[in-house]
Amino acid sequence: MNYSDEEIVQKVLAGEKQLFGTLVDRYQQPVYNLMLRYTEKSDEAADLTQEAFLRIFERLWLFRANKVFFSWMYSLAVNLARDWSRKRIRHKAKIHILQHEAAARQDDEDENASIEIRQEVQQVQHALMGLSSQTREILILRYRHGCSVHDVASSFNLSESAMKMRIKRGLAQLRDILLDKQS
Amino acid sequence: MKNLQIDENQIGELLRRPPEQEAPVWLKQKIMKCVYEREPSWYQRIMSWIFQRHTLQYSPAGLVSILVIGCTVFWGGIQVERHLLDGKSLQAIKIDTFADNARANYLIGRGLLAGDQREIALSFFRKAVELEPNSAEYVHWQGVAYWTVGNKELERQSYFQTVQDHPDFVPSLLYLGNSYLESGSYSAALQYYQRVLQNDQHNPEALYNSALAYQELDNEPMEKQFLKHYLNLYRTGKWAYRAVDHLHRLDDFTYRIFRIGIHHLVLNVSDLLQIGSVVQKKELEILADAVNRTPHQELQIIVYNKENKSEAKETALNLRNQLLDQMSSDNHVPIMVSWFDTAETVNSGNGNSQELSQSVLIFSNPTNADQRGKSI
Repeated sequence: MNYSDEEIVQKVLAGEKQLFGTLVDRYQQPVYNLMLRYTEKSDEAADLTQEAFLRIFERLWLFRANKVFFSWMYSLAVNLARDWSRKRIRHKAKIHILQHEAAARQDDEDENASIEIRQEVQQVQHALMGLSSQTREILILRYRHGCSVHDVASSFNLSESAMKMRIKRGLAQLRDILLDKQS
Repeated sequence: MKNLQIDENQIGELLRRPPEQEAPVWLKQKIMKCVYEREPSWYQRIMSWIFQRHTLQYSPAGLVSILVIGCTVFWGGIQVERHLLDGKSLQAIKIDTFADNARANYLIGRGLLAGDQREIALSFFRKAVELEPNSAEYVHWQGVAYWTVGNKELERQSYFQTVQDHPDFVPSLLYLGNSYLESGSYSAALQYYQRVLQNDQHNPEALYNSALAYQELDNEPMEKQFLKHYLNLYRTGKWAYRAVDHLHRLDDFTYRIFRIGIHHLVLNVSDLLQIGSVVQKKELEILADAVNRTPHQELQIIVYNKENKSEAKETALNLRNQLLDQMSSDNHVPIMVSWFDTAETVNSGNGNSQELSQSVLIFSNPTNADQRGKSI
């Protein structure tokens, strides 16, 4: 039986804990990758992913059915990652492409993608790591995960117009970093 | 990036093609173990009941009543939790008193094993087997415990003991297969997997591992057969994606992985292209389910047919119509189709490229693209 996220939340709250596993199945990859971007270490990312899902489980009763589950859950995970990050050494981490990119799944790419496009993707990934963590996650939530501006805005507790401005500025920063690299 | 036209569309498109790493296989199990151990407090339960099911009507009397109930429930919740904690410590003492009971020893062993206390767990399993040597479950778990401490010989002996007394006990047959597979005895592993499948014909581990054993024996046709059998039954999870990768390495593109929103979807492309068939319907159901779960997307379906453009067009339109029939009526995901009288070029896992004369490519893009189309 394939339930929507919202139906699963209702059922988990009603005691069907095992259905929470379906939510983990659906979203562990984006959350794990979010944590990887913050920690850059797979073991720490896995621990934080676990902690994020437990936090989500404990706060499921706060979820409102009029929201999109993914963006609500993602905002909890982002907050956890930011808390973790604040506890770390305050100097800025070196910008580098995560190792796993080399072993990226073939299916994540258009099979017809040329080498040039793959290089572009890598450069954008590289540039993303040069943005502030919040701006980076906003762009990823919006473009990679296809969330609407409204959902991204509610995830980050911002108005829709403020979020549009953030996205626009984020893209401009990304463009500047990319142009800088080209020159 | 010499030709990169850096506008918002381009960056947005590049952001949608990220290399993403899959979460570790064991992560879900670890998360769910913690979830099962956690009980929501009474306060959480009641708040969830109130907020999920009821709309509050605001009136002074009602508000006061709710406040009183809330305070009472909050105080009560604290008291009940305190009581439950006391209950747990009592429970621990009771288990101690059942130390000579086989079942208690077994359960303690399972708990210790889950907590990675392997050596101590083993002693509890041994005690359980000593008390009830005919229990397949206890003997089997004794074998598992031997495996965790690295004693493969005694591990196998335990499984042998189980299957001798209970020839159809699937867990021990399966673990014997795994044990032989690990030690490189592939033919022996296959014999046990075969016995597993005789008792449980859809056993995912036996199907997948049989393919691995055939891979080691360089028997490509059988490897493909088992991988396809596995994928015919299981389409999600790490092992399904790996099975597709294995098939691609063997230049078999019957199954492909498509990305719909954040979901990876495994589809049997050859079935999907069989217009009007039952197997096509099954694939369309899987696709429709993914689309229904992925709002704010537009779906792109591209059909390739090297020999016949009109057939490609017919297939593309058929796929769209069939998919619309499958999707829920309140879902308004736009479906864009296109078709080409060329072959699709794909990369196999071994680095070679291959042309598929008949194929289909499916992906999604976010809609509601209010930011797209403007330059920055």
